[in-house]
Amino acid sequence: MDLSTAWADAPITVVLDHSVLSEVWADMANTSLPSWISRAPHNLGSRGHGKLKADQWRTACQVNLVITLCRLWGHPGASSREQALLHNYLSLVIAVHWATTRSTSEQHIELVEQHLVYYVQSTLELFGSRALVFNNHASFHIPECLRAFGPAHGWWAFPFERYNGILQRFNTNSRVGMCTNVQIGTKTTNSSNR
Amino acid sequence: MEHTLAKAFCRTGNLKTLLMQGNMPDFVKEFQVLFSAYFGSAFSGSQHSDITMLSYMSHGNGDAPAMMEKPDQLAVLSTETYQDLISCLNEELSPPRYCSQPSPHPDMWIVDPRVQDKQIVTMNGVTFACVSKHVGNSRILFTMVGDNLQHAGEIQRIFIHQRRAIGLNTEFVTEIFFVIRQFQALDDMQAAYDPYRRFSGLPCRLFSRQFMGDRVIRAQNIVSHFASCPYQRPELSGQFLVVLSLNRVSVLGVVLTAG
Repeated sequence: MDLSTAWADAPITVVLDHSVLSEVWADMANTSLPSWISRAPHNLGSRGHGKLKADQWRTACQVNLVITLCRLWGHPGASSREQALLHNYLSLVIAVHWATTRSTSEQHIELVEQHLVYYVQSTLELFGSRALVFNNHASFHIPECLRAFGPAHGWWAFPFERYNGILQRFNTNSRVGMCTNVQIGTKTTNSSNR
Repeated sequence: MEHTLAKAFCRTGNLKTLLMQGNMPDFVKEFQVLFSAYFGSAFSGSQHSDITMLSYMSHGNGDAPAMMEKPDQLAVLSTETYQDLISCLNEELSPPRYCSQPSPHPDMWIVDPRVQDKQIVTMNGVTFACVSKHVGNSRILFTMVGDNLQHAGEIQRIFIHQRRAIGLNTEFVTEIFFVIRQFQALDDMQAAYDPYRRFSGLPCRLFSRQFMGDRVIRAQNIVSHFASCPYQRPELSGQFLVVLSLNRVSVLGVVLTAG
């Protein structure tokens, strides 16, 4: 199957509709978080908040949605589709949680593997093959990377996203190369004067 | 070539953590000042905080707490907290070595009831606060000695205490302690309605919003902060709290408290 065109003729499936998002927003307003964690925008899911940073995605998906979706879809009276959606989503959350811990072991890796497999299988059942993207394939290489290189924070590419962010914020005045050198030079001189 | 690329990739990716290590050469430390001045704000956020914490955990931040106030300005602990402190100090000692009253045994030390109160402390790059100061920074998971369960609680009070050292060359040792009000775990009946408990790999559980008694714990008992949100469902009567662990150095087998 050509994954690059799989979504092209797919009908839109709404999973987090306005009623669910309203519950998410209400829970977000009542959630206490320590100051070191980045908060997701209070109107998560609206167009108004613009593009989210990776850190905000992490808080939204690993904290806020877990709290609310479990409450809404995890009780005995929830429909079978809601329960299936919850299992599907939480298998991804659990896989990401154990794949990004600062320590790892064979047990961690097996847990990640099991939940990634379940996530992809249940995604196929719930949304069909059109829902698969390249990242689903790439995610199956995470366990072997964990085995080969250890905890993910040592080799993931988040720092380079930050470096890209720093570089993007430099005002180059459309003179790529020169201005950056001048700015770094000026900044270094200023710091020496302090 | 692949080896050089992989090494450069990992070193660059962990530059900030490398710079925070205490055992770096002097010329690197000078570079760290420059680096922090220009890129400090660009390296903020959750990822940075927990990597920084890991760096401190591996290499230590070298900042021992110090009593800043004069002895006559120190607060005196209540009788209950004082007894809790003594229990906490004796926890790993057999036989007990600290007491509240003079003892006939020559190797028993009387614990000073005077302490210096703190509203906020930063340890290993992470800030902890009393609940009156910042609710999010006060909610922590902690373990007790010989226990593989994590309990949830709220920091009521933080204090620095100085005592006579046992088995050390230094005469006195200064340490930070936390007075924790522990959230009550669910009983078996209530736990059956906990939707988070069904997912064993998920570090999230319901707790009752009722408190158990206060207890004094040491800094090393703290596992991590947790995210919390009030929880209500018709099938579960009472007031509950969703507790989601924010521990990033997770160890399998250590479970978020029993029901």
